Parts: sequence; C-alpha cells; structure tokens
Amino acid sequence: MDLEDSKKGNAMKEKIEDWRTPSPMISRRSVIGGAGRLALGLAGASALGGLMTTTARAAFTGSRPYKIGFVAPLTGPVAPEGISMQRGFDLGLEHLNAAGGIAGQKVEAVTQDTKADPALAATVVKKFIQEEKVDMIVGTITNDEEDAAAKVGSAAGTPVMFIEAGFWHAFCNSTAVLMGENSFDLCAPLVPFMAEKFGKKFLLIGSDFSFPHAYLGVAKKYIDAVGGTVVDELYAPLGTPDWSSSIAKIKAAKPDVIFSGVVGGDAIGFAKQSKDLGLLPDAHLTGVNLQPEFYPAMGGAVDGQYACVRYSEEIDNPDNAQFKAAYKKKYGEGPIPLVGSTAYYALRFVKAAVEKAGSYDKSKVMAAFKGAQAQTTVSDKPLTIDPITMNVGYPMYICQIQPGGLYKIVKEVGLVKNDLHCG
Amino acid sequence: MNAWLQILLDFVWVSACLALVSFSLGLILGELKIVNIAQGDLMMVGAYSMYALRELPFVLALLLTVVLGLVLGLVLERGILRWVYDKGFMATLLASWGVGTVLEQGVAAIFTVSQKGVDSPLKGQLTIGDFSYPTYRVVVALGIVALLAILLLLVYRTALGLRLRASIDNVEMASVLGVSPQRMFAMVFSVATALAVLAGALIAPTIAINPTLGLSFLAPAFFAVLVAKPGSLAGPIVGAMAVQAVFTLLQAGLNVTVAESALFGLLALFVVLRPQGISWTWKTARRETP
Repeated sequence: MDLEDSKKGNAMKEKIEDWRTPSPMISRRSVIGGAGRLALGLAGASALGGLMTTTARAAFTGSRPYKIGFVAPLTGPVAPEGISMQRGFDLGLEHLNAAGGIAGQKVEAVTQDTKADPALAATVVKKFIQEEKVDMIVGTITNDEEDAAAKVGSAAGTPVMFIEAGFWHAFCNSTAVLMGENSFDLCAPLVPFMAEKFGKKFLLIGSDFSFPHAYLGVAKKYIDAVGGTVVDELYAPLGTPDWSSSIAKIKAAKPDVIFSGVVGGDAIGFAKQSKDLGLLPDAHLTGVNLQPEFYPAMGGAVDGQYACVRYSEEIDNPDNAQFKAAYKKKYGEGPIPLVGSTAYYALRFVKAAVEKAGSYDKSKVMAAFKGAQAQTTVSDKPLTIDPITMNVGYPMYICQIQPGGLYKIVKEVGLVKNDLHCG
Repeated sequence: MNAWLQILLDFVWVSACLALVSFSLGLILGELKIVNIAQGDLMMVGAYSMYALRELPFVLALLLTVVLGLVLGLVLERGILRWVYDKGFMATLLASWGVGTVLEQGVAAIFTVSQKGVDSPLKGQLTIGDFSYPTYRVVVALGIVALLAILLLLVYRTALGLRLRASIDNVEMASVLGVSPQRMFAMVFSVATALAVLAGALIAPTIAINPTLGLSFLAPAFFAVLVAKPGSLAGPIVGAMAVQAVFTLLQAGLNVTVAESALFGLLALFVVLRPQGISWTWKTARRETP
C-alpha cells in the first residue's frame, strides 16, 4: 500500500512539476507559525497585545469576494454522500453570506463534480486554482480523491479543506485542513471503556487497505496501554461478500472484544453474517464498523453494542436545531447525514482563519488555520483545529446502539489528547 | 469439532450459491459462446429486486424476481446480444460488459449507492448439540442442490436437453436438423439470466446489497467454468465445488486477502497446466457466424 501510494505520488509530482510554485512554502509557513506564536505570547502577556489583535481583526476588510472551489463526487459510487455534502455546503454558504460573509465580503463558490475519480479530482482542483483563481478548495469524500487533491493543492500552496477526512500521515506537511476526527479520537476513549466493561482480550479485524491498518494500529497502542492482549488480527479485502471464515476464526479465538476496522458495505455484511452465524449479539463488537450511517442496512445486528462517535441525535443545541430545520425545509424530510452537517459549519472555520490571518494570502490563511476556532452544530463550545494534525478536535461520545438506531450517549469523553506528529 | 462443522457448512452454503452462478455462466458460454461479464451484475439485479419487493412475502418476491430474470434475459438477448454474435468474440465480450455497466449504473440511479439490506425469511438456527447454524442457509443450499439436479435431469434426460446439447456441440449441424439456434439462444440466455438473478436473490438476506456486489462472485465463477471439463454442463458445478473447497481450506489457514491471492494464483496455474479448460473459449474465438 505504501509503495503504491508513493508511486501514485511520484506520478502526480511529474504531472504538476511544470507549474509548481517555486517558493519554499513549508519553511515560509513555519516562519509565520513562529511569528504567530510570538504574537500570541504577547497577547497573553499584555493588554496591549490583546488590543492589537482585536484592532487588526476588525480593521481587515477583504478587497474582493473570497472565492472557494467546491469539489464533490456528485455522481458515481459515493454520490449520496457527495450530494449531502453539497447541500450542507450550499446552506452554510447561504447562511454565512446572510451574516456578512468573510472579512466583510461575500463568499463566492464554484462547484464541479469529481465522480469520486482521483484523477478527475486532481484535474478539477488544478483548474480551480489556475483558471478560477480560487482562494481555497473545499470538498471531496474518498481517501483517493483527498490524496490527489492534497498533492495538487499543496504544490500550489492553496489550502484544501476535506469534509470527511481525519488525520492521515499522507497529509503531513501538506495544505490540507481536515474536518473529520482522527483515529486517536476514535480509539483512545473506546479501548479502555471496552476493556473495563468486557475484558482485555481483543481481536482486531479490518478491511485490507491503509485506513483500517492505521486505525487498528492506533487501537493496538491503547490495548497495550491498558495491559490487554491482541488474540488475532484479521484482514479481508474491500468487497468481501462472505465473512464466514473470519467469523469461524473469531469464534475459535473467543475474544472479549472484537475491535473492527471493517468499513463500507463490508461493515454491514460482516455484522449481518456475524448475527446469522451466532457470533452476535453475545460477542462485543465495536469500532468504526458501527458508524451510524451503516446502521439502517445492518438490520438490528448491532443493537446493544457500544460505539465511539462524534455525533449523536441526542446532542441538542440551538445551532443544530436551526440547521436541521433549514436543511429539512430546503431539501425535504429524512435523516441528515453527518457529512451534510459537517459541510454546513466547515465554512465557519474558513471565516475564522481568513479573519485571523487578516489577509487572503494563502500561506497566511493556512497558518491561521492552526488553532482556528469556530462554533459547530455538534457542540455548545467552539471547536479548535489541532495545529499539528490539522483536524478539528471533537468531543467524543461513547454510545450504546438502541433498537431502531438511536446512538444513546452513555459516556461523554470530551476532547481527546493525542501524541500525533508529522515526520 | 464444531469449528470444522461450521467450515463444512459454510463450504456447502457458498459453493451451492457459486454453483448456481457458475452453471448459468457455463450454460451461456456453452450455448451462445459468449463470456458473459454481466453475470455478476445480473446477480446484483436479483438482490435489488428482493430489496424492492421486501414488503411482499419472501417466496412471492422470489417468484417475481425469477420472472423478472426471464424477461430481462429475453430482452437483453433479443435486444442487444443477437446483433453482435457475428461480430466475433471481442464484440460479445464488450457488449456484455456494457450491459453490466448499464445495470450497475441504472440500479445506482434508482436505489442510490448506499448499502441496502433484506431481512431473512427464516431467522431460526438449526441446532445439533451445542452447535447451531442459520436455517436459511441450510434450506437455500438444499434448494439449490435440488434445483441443479432438476436442471441436469432436464439437460441429460429430456428431448429438450438433447437439442440443447446438440446445439452446444455443433450449432450448424443442429440447425440443419431442426433446432432453431435463435430460439435456443433466446431460451438459454433467458433461463441462465433467471438463474443468476435467482442466485443474487437468494444471497440477498445474507449480504450488504450494493451495485457492485456481483463483481466479487464473477471471478470465482469464471474459474469454476474454466477448471471444468469443457463442454459439460455439469462441469461448472463440479468446478464451483473445487474452487470453493480450495478457497475454504486457504481461508482456514490464512488471512482472507492472502487466501484470495493464493486462490487465484493457484487457479491461474491450474489453467496453464491443464489448458484443456480454455480450449473451449479458443473455439469461440475462431467460431464462424451461427
């Protein structure tokens, strides 16, 4: 997988070499980061510093509308997610502009379909940057698209904001800003919770591609930390229809907890067959396998199980209520996917960063994203972009899945510390 | 002991489903000399049909799905495939690939690509001592075995079967002797389509339904046909059992990803070492117009 990634990377580099910006972007960014920290120190030390930052913020008014290139798979295999994302984004844009836009200017967006094709995503991002002269890119759903978009965006020094992605080592030293949670957020609260409740014998199972390997790798760290053991580690390729051999192995290993990084349709197949073959409901299954969006097709196979998520319908705040009402008024009734609500508040982080930067300059905005704060629909308190991993730090919840699909909060974990770093 | 019993029953269940698909694939390859890439997508159509009809009683939904398969097969054969028979092997391959793509995209457009599920009509478990296994799988596996037995009796013990085999053996000679190739082609494709659709409908309650679900069944089914004795309609059934037996054993010892690579590696090797298996398709490539 690594080999393949680096191969892809090389091909991409060759393609974009001719228009790569000559400036040594990374070192420039770190200088600005240093300056930012210095300013912050001053602000903390003296009232004058505080006054300076406020004045600077209020004084900045953009010279022209801020322009965003929105790239989304509106057709193809992940179109439902792409369309939900677009709806949330459009609504967020509408509300943001109604409230005064960014830096006193309206925000403009251009949109194009990527069909979930990474090559097309790269082309669209390149076109938006070169021809549309956008200030930043927002969008994408799949890992492949994100990898491609991050490479093109970084080479051009343009911030790229991904609605679905969490921390990913491939995004280190890139211009990616991530709206998703990272694997530490998903694992750190869950492993001790499960170990305490059910026992310390863990079995890991995952879809065989880079994300589940990384995710289960993080889980293993926490299993070690609680003195647990990993009795077996199973991987099956994406698109595996028959899980019986893995289920037989799990039955034989008799783990206390099945920690699953099986995703997509396979998560559903695995859960259903685990129920059919008598593994569930007695065994304890957890992990990203239990993401709420997979619930409807799992047919009750995971009722009663525990999951670690960043959102539950139980989270109730005025912001979310207003968003839900506006979304349903515009697009009709029915559940609102998480990606729609994330895309809705994503632009608030853009506003925070641009106004903090006091400039449309891409590298200044990128630096301002580090530690940028914004109010979201998932929490009463403003959330912050982690300056190292560049993903939004979410307060996590451990939920028990109720029959019918309500993720009932049993434990509020709050923000999760991690020791993630790049390099 | 229980672990082995489960592995055995899993083998019976998966190989029964695979045998049904392989038989239908072998039927089309034998009679129409077409490598039907769309066979997996026809399974997918069956699964979606069960999803669309999930409010109806299961058996009724199954019957309607089979009827849908028969009609769909007839439409595809009369509407598309018959126009490309004389364009050669590559044309029919591409036509069936195109059909598969249209089915996938069409289903995605109607149902969206998010995962769907169908409830199993038999939720119980068969229990022997402290071992239990889903009743649905056992009943369906037995049903498929019975269905395949009936189909083989039809093929080898009836006048219709004789005509079919004659037509497979030498379509020109058979047509001289009064077996209309057009009718035989339409009938075979229609029945084979219905069988693939039926296979998809039967596995629907055990899997996550999505527009690309057929792809994962296509490769093993092809190998089941390839390792079989060329020209034999019972061959793909034996082939399916052989392929699944090897896969089951590999999976018992290895991670699924590794087992899958090893399986296809071994099968490719087998086909190279015993090329009689592919001589059938070679004949196809050189075949004159029907």
